[in-house]
Amino acid sequence: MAPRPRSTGRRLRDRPGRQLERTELAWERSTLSLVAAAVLLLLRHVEPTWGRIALAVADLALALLVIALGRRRGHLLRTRHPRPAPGDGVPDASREVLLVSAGAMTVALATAVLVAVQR
Amino acid sequence: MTSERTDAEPDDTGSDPDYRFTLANERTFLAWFRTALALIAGGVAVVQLVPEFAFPGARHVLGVLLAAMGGGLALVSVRRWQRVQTAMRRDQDLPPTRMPALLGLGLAALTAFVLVLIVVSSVRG
Repeated sequence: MAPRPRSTGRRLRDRPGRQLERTELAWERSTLSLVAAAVLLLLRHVEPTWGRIALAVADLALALLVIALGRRRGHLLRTRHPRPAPGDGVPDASREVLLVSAGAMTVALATAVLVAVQR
Repeated sequence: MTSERTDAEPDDTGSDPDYRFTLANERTFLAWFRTALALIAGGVAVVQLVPEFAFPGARHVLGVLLAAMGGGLALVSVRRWQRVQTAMRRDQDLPPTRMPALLGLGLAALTAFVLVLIVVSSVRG
């Protein structure tokens, strides 16, 4: 019979690395739609050109903002709370949530306006 | 247990919840956020990729509706995140939400609208 692996003394579900990693990945995944929309806008030539390019730039800017905020938050949590134990608290993402939502609402409005005026 | 508050805190009563719950709430918000962005991107795709329907301007109406839904979802997802975070800080039950049902109804209505457009376009030739 093969020997059982040694216990690390900490249950798998209590390891903080998984939570932080999953959260960071969630931030990064959030940019895919924005990049796809920007590519669509740049590949297809539809009038007005200035509006199309401006919206593509706005989409990419929001994508970069989301990536930057996600990385910053991940770095903050890893450096200030490297090994939180069950029951420990960490700062919530108030600023990040408000910033990206404001960005998304701005992009949504710009998209609606551009779509409405496109020929 | 240390607590680091920021100026953007919606509610600082109670105590910091378990870090796993805070991060889970954050991931849930990001899931709604991605859905909002997908709707906005869908609004762009409808106008950029879909051929004209029998009704002139129908694609543009659909695109505007999708973008508006995305913007609205981005707004309510922030509120949901705040309410859940506040409930966790106060050790209260999580508030119920109608967001999944409303999103489903909205998408069903858009789907029905598109189906009507397709059928009418096919009949008119």
